[in-house]
Amino acid sequence: MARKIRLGWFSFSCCEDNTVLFAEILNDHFFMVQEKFDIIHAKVLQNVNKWEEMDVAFVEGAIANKEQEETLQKIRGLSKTLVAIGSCACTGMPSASRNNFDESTIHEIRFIKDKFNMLDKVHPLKDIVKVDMEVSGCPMDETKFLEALTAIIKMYGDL
Amino acid sequence: MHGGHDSENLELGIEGLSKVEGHMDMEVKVTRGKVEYAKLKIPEAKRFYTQAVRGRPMQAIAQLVSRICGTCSMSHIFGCTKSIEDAVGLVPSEQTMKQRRLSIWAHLIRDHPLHLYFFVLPDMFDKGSVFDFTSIEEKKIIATALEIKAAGNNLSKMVAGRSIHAPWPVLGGFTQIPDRAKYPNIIHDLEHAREHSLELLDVFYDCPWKFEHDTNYVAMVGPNFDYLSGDLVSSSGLKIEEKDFDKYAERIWKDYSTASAFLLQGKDYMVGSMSRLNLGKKYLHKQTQKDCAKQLSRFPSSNVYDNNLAQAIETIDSINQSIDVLESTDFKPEAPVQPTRKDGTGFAVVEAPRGVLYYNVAIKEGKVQSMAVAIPTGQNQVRMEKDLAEMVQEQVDAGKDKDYIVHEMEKLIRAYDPCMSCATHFLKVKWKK
Repeated sequence: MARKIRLGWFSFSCCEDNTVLFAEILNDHFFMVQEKFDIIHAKVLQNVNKWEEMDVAFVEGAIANKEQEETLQKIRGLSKTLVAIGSCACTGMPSASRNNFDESTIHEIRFIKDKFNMLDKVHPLKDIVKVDMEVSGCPMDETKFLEALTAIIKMYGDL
Repeated sequence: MHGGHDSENLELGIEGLSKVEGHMDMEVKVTRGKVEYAKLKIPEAKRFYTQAVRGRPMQAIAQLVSRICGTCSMSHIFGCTKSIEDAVGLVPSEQTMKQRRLSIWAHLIRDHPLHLYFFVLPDMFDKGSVFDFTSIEEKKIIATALEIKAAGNNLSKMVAGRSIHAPWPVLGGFTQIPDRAKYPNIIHDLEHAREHSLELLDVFYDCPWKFEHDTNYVAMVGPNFDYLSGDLVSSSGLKIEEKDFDKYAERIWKDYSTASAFLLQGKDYMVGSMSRLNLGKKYLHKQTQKDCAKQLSRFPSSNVYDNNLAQAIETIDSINQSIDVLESTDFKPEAPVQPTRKDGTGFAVVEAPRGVLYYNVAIKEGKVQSMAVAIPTGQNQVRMEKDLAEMVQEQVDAGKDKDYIVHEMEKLIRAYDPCMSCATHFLKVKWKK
């Protein structure tokens, strides 16, 4: 049996539309994913999730607090290829709306920001770690995601 | 591993509940055999959408609030739009209402099955994930589930342009109408999805899981079973005008969670699929009432796990309703209705898949002044915590071990189908310091 590709799926600050879209993409590709991939980490899909080396990590969402920053660094350390999926991961927006708030609105939200250790600014992934591929769009572009998935299969599928 | 008598003192914690939308932690503390507290913590960082909409043109914000939640985006689009239309005196056409209904039903046909087959089914088959369904029989169930979801997804594309962050709905109407040439395939797929959904219905009807609770069920129900209109009522006998929601529902702040919780007249309540069927099953499509008569006799129910059965029935109903409207409607190009004024305050309640979704918006000179949103998971939070506390107490009294109880906690909360993306947009917060 061919070696399975080790995949991780992670969400930070966002509306998780890429996860929902992935669930729709599975309508047509479920059995291919089941056959070719070993899901190491995907909290939305399974209850046993491991922090182990992965061939590919798909990451959605922007980075809004210290804990997320550290988790993203951990993911980077464990993954050979890190793919940013969706607008928030690629550009920060729209989760980074607060970066553009005026003084009085910033003052209004300060208490919550401090209470939950939020960073001063919300960041796209590439501000924090090296990103190998980007699939932009809000939600991510379905065709480009499938292209990225195909590229991953080519890179790691026949080892 | 804890033995029997060790369950006198337990700290039951789950960091990052799996198979739910978004991030939620649970914590239950048991001291000398008694549950001290049960907490549901939502640690996700807020995204402050209620602030981000301020000053923006009223026509632009439905697309922004859609981004509150990738799971429930269609409900946010129509909840927000309905509140703005109320504010500026805009009444959409009957054709627009039909297209909105189709959009919402399509949303239900793909969202309920995601919860039922990807999140709940693995627990029922004692598996960690949908990817662990590997035998021929098991794969057949998954293939069936995927077909149902796909029928909803494809219907969404035809009626709203896309299933997530749909681009066609606008204030007063739609920018495009469904392409009639696609009807035959879509209806064919929906009919298959109906057949499959009926086949799988008894998986949820026969499910032996039981947790009875005593609460107030709240839902907006009415003719068409369309999740967009009707009366907001409760099993305690209330009938609430949309503009009065804030007078009944009180926001409370849990200092361990970034999302706000709600009480109704000072008490916990439950919203969602089970509440809708408990209060409004008579409004379901005739075909649904006929085909699901046995399963519908279960409602009104106070077993939390019947929320799964209710979702399965609503999926079938949304298919029946959609086929009816498609077969009887010839959509014609129609310009969106324009607002008659640029100022006002609007209130709206819609039923998101997980329950009551409330919008309140103030518009001045065509721009958003302020907005408040109450989302279903926040409204269920207090009841979910009480359920957890009561269930854990029952299990501790029965001498169950820690691993068993933790698994039961997960199952129980999953039955509510919580959605944390929704919960962590932003509400006006006054923290108790």
